[in-house]
Amino acid sequence: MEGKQLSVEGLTMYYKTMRGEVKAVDNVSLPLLKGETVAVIGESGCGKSSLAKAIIRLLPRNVSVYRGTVLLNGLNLMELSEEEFARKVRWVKITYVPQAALNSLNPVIKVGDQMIEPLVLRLGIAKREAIEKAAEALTTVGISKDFLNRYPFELSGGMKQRVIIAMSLTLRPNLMILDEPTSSLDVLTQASIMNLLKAVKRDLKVSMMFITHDVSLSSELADKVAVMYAGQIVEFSSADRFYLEPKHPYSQKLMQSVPTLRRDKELAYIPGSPPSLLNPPKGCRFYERCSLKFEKCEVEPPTIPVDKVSSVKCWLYG
Amino acid sequence: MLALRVKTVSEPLLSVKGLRKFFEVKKGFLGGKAYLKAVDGVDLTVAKGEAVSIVGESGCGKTTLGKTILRLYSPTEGSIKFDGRDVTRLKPKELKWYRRETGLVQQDPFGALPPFMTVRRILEEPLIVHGVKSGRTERVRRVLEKVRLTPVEDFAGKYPHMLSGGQQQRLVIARSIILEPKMIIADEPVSMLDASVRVEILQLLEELRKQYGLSVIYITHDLSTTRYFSSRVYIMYAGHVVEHAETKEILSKQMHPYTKALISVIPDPDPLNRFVTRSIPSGEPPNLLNPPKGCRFNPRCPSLINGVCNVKEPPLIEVSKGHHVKCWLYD
Amino acid sequence: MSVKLLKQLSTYKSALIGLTVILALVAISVYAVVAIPYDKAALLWRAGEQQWLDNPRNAMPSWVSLLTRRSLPETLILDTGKPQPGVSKAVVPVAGRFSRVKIEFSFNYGYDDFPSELNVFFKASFNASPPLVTVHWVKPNGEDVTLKTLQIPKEGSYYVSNDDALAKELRSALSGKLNKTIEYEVPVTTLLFAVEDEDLLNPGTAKVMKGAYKLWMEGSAFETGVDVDAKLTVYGKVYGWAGTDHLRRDLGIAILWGTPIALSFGVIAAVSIALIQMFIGAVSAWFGGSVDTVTQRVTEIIMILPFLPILIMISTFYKFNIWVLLLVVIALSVFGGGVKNYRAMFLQVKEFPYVEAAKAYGAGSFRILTRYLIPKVLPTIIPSVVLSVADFVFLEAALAILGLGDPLTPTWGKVINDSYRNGALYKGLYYWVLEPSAMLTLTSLSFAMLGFALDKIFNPRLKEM
Repeated sequence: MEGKQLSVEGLTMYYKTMRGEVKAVDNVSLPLLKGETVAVIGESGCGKSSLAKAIIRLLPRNVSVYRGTVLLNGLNLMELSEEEFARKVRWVKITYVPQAALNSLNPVIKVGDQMIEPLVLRLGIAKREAIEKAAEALTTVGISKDFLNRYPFELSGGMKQRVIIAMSLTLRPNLMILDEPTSSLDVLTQASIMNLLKAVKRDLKVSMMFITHDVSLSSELADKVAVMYAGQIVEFSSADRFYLEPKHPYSQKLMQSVPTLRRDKELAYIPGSPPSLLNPPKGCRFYERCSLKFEKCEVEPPTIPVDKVSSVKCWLYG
Repeated sequence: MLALRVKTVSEPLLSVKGLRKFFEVKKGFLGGKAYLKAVDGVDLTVAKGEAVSIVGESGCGKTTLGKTILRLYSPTEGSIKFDGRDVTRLKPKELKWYRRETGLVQQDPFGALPPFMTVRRILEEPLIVHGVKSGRTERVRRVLEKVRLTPVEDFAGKYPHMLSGGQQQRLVIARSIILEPKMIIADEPVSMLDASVRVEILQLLEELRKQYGLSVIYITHDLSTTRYFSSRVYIMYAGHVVEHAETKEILSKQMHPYTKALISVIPDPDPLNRFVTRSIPSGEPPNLLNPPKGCRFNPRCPSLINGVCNVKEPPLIEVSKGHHVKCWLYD
Repeated sequence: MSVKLLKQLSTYKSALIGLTVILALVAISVYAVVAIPYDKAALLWRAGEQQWLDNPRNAMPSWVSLLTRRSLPETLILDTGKPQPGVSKAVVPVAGRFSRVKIEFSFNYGYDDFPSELNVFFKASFNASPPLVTVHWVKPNGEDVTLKTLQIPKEGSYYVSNDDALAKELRSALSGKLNKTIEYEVPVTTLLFAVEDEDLLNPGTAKVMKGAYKLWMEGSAFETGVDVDAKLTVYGKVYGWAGTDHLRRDLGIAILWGTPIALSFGVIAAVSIALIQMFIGAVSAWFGGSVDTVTQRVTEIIMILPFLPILIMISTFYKFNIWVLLLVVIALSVFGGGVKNYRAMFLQVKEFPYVEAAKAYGAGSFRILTRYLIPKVLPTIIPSVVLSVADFVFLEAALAILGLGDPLTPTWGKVINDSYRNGALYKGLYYWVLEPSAMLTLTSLSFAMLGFALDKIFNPRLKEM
């Protein structure tokens, strides 16, 4: 793998609500090499979707803090103006497939028209050229070109998701961020989408950030794994190591709670629930529910490198 | 009218035979009726104290099957016998006892709880409906302790939105057992919960099952959990049960091509997964308004026997003890 | 839950303003009901002119004096029946059956404007021969003018300001004094109170002669045991805090009493219609099938019927009071569009998992309807109920303005109707229109502001962060 595609350093994003300030993304750092896939794993409310939106600058209306560095091929995206970002980066260099994206297809507009819309309107590409690109993208995801003239309701769930993925590939972005791309799909359809993403990764060499709560599913694409908890990344590891030997107590417990199909294991669960992002505890945020805690954990642990690639945010490794 | 109870020792608690549930759908403005064949000929038994899983993808009819068994729908054809009594054709008024003997745990924990009622009130409702006049507070307390929503005083006055997802689902389970039923149907009880909480809920159900001799029917799309929480598995596809056997048997020796496909695509956490392209049967589950002739899986089946599979519906064949497959390959 | 609601509400300034105004209106209503019980108010309002004889006609509210630079006159009453300084009466028997009658009224007049009317009311007790007196008028400059010689009636009045003969006489006298012809018909009140100079020639510039005035009468009574009482009423141009209408009624009563009537009409209509519609929608949605079909078709038919024309039609045959009107409005609105809204809500809610759970543990239809569906839907209808209060308040007023309402009850709409019928705007009597309109606007605005804020709270999609 060559150089860094994406380098996130200290990315922080808070937003204000009636009940206080939600610290959704708290000082997150994340490297992504070219052609690599990083899986961001976490449960509901950990901030993984907010992280994706923070990277692609789709900030909520009530954002209060937004700082850090996001380097895409060396270019610091945080320094770009909103207009520049929209023109040069969003949908051009980085694409974002949000959760339940297949529901965001406009039911009264033909598939083809929806696919070419951002190209023609925002990027000023000529219509004929845009249609060609769209047709090419559809073929890449295994859908016949005929579907350019069909309406979304004529497609099944799996096909709609393929169309979404096709849309995000039309301009051959450097980085694709996928947030739970298979959550509402059946097991078999899910597997076919994963096959597609594997092919995209292999043939088009697109770097991917794959956000999911499904630990088993993440192993289908991940070269590296980042575990998020309460707005922070608590472990970053290579896939080879992570799935066999997670290091952070949370990752370990999480792995223990995943039922495996092919072998028996002792299942465990984590009692309690994650801390509120309104007022996260000082010190290690997993302290309350950790069975390996000790005194030092009352102070927030730094991110401690474990080897050339991996790091853990836990005093056990300090 | 109550049927005579005829009970033998080995008779299963629940016995479903040839169950069909069709939904009438109006076609076009001028009518013409079509039927959505959601459940089309299902046999199922559950013994006392046994946990059984019904596994399938969305649209396969597993939820409809569960609701029909609970008589939330009226069966179109077939029979349902519970505890020796035939409940297939009973009218709503005659089913009150059945409601007491069965419980339902639904998928959406928050949606399953009335947002304007307190925890105590939610648990008292089934008791009030069944005319339990005294001792309600005590029963509420006991059941809250059972599901570990303690201290009881703290939780009794709370509203559902004040609880976490896991706590809400535990409350739903508490409500389903407060009438001391014999059988619980849990429809995707953990699919909306976080991974780290799922095991807690499933272990709770398992504990209750063992303690009270409850029969549990799990309806799920997640085969992985069946390994740990049920003794037998029914695989459903397009309204049919295509295979059923003991859990261990099915997970080690699948027979039906669909089951095989299902098992092969479900990943375990394994870093080598990313290099593997899985073979998947092409196509989509069929439209139940107009299912394919013969075996419903035939358009997608890699082992299709032309002229047989797409002409006649296969029977349920017993391949080995307790292991049945609905497939011509085993005729 | 309601504490949370109040907290959320307090973040919207408009809601706070609306709520404050509504509370003020409620306070006014309570005061109105307590200070002037309904029976008394109705009696007062429906009483004939006799009740209101002491009030000026179409008088402006007193505080108008503060706005204009001129001080406007208030009504001055001097009554021999009520001993006061400036009033003297003497009935002195003289030879035989005769008595000398002398009555004097003295007062100071310092206003910048002329009185609207001048009247002397008489009450005398005699057998057959009425006493005969000559009425004089003394201006501050000492000038004494004979007004009229008249017979005192047992009960009656000498309407000085309407005395045309006197007017002609005074006018010609004035023309003589000024040596100029007066172009317009100078009213008696002006002639009696004005400074007699060139300014009198134009109606707008006439000046009031300020100072001590006297109206006195002297004459004879021709029987024994005769008693005479007189009351001088110098009608002002302002009265009270709300002014008066064409029947001299104190508009304050109507404005005050209009408040509880408007509020109760609006609230009762809004709440009862919403509740009944909700119930119909619930039953229709829950039972489905033929119940649903029939209910919906009935609703649609009634929705198409024109509400206002039917009301007009009914009211031309039957004159009803305001509470019957309320009942008719409710009856006509019950199968309205709200039924469809609520039915849609119930169709949604009945599919909720907790309803299914209730079926699974054996709850019956009635229980599910009343304990599970309605409590879920009820909070969401609150904003529209609050908003519709404003509609019904306006409806009542609109009906009154069209002449359909209750002619005997003091409501804001009736006041506007009276003002319209009597050409208030044409005559420049703006207060008569503005006061009830302001109350209507205030009431509707306050409910609207509260309603919109509630809507934002209950409808999270409209929420601003």
